Amino acid sequence: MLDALYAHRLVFVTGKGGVGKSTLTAALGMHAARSGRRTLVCETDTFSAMEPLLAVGRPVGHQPVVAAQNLWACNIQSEQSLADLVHRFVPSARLAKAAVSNRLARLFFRTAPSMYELSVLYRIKSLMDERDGDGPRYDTIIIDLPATGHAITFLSVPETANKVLRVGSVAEMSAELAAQLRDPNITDLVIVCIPEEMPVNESIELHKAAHDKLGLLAETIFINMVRPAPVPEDGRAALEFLADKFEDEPGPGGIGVLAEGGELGLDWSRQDREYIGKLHRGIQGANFIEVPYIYRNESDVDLIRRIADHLNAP
Amino acid sequence: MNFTDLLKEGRLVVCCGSGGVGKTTTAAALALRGAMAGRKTVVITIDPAKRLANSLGLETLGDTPQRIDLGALDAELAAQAGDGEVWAMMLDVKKAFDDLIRRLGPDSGAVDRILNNRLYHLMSTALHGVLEYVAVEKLFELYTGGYYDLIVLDTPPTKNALDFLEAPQRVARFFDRGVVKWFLPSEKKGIFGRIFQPGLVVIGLISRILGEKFTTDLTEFFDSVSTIIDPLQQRGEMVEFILRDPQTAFIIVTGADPRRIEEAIYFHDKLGTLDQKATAFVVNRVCTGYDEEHAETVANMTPEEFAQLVQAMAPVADEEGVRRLVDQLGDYYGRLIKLADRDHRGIKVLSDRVGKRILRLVPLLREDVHDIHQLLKIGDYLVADPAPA
Repeated sequence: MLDALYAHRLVFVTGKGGVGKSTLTAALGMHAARSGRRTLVCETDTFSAMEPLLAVGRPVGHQPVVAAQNLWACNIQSEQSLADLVHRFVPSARLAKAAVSNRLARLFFRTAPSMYELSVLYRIKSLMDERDGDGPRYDTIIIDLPATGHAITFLSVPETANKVLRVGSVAEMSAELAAQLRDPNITDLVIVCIPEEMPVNESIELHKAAHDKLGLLAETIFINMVRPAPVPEDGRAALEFLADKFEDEPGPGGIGVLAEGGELGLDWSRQDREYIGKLHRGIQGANFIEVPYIYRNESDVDLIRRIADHLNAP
Repeated sequence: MNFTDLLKEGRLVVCCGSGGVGKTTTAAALALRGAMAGRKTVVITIDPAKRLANSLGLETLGDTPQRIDLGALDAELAAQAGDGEVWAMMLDVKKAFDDLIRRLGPDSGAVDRILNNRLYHLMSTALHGVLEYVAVEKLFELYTGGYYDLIVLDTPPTKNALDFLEAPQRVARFFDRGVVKWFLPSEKKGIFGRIFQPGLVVIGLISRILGEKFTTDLTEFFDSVSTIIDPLQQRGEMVEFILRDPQTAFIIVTGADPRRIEEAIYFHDKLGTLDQKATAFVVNRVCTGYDEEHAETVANMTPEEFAQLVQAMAPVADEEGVRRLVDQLGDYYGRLIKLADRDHRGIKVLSDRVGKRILRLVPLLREDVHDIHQLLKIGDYLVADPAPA
């Protein structure tokens, strides 16, 4: 089911903060690597979540490190990427580094619109172009997009940069990058959502904007943290009867308290289904993958393994 | 300042935290509490949650403050509020930035020149920190406007805690004369300045990387915005002053799971580096009240109790059905225990670090907050005595 997704060179994972984007990026990376693809998982300028999630065992920095068989992780540093980018235009790496660390230039690049985004995308492109023997070093690069800001804005940066700069080497490079980001054979977008009002609305808008503005289909949509119903459909009536009967009293053997917990679960599950219905109605023809809420008492990497196992299920 | 004083005497409450932790709902609940303390309160949000607007009796939130009709929502609430008022608005970043330029520009010609600049459009949406800057700008306007007693600000979600607090400085710095003057040939310079201009080196570098055309456009842009640089910087400084005022309070909103708690502590430490501290930590959606002991009591139900249960359930289930239901509920209860246990551990980590006294726990509710009564209920938890963790 996810083979079509992994066939893309670049997979951008996007979603509102707090929906479990990093968790699913890690799980997708693990799952793709298990299927034999050389997979690189990228974060950008963050407090690396991959370190614990993939049990990398050492700091995840700008340069990719091995996380497991067929799996690498990196945490792209925009300052370093900017220096890399500048290096293309000034002869020596030292001079490039000096140029971007100049106080005034630094101030300019720090605040100038989209300069960092452009550098990060440039870095991703370099990683995509890296070779190992006859083939590419990485088959699939999965990128955990920053939660703040809009994925579409981020992915439109090369195009905007091209329009703003018009001529020059960076303008040309941006044009090439923009074309690759808009090519549905190269790039795909994964939307991570949870069954709540804002994330659902935003996902519907994002899906539409990806199509309208970038020409990308964003066919894979994860619905994370779906709370399971405490009882199957045919047991609901009995549960509600029980909860009513022993409302605010312990009941035989203290069952009333459990019934109350069950009823709470029923409400949650109903509410989740309602939002999931809304998401389905808002996005036609996508591949929806539900990931159950995990009431965990386990380590991070076990959780990721569990979700990766779940992704195998049809 | 403690929480109750804050609602009575505070002037500004900044709700911070990462996305998805219930910041907007917390801000709205606080604003209602402010009104109940008799104050004219305004809540500024950036979150276009329709449910929040609906829960305040509005169809949508506009980009100017709208007064909430408390009487129409709940008569008792309106009576309690007395002279207190609640106003709400949602920030429209692009529009707010345009408005700012309009207000600060010396004349309409200068304003048009800026608004029509090719780079301006890009700057106003993509410039780092613009969202935060505009939020604090709006804040300044309402703060100095004199009408409102209490402003509750729902901040944009940021991964980096410092982003928001540093935004005024950062944007002001971008327009700093030091940077701008590289691009402005008209600036008067002494003989030394004409010979040695570090700016030229930087411009040379930028031109080399980004192209001559861009530098020309940039010069034009800075030239057109040069008229508003001074007022922009002054505002940045004043906003910073407001953020450091003792009557300004910071509330860190978080969830109870360990990763959220870690973020909240990180935020707390960052505030510390700015000589600020959090007045309270609001821990939302806390799962509590489920314990192993009770699960065991039920699991060890006597045959008599079970028979009694079967009898009570006779209208809807047979004995086999009741047994199945009890098992399913036991499993589900087990999950709730795990959740409660996880939350308990998270809260313990936080309270060990910042003390119990400033924690406010809001329990997990049955459904999304979508009406005024749920907002009021959350408000009750916010002003309640600190819960034992």
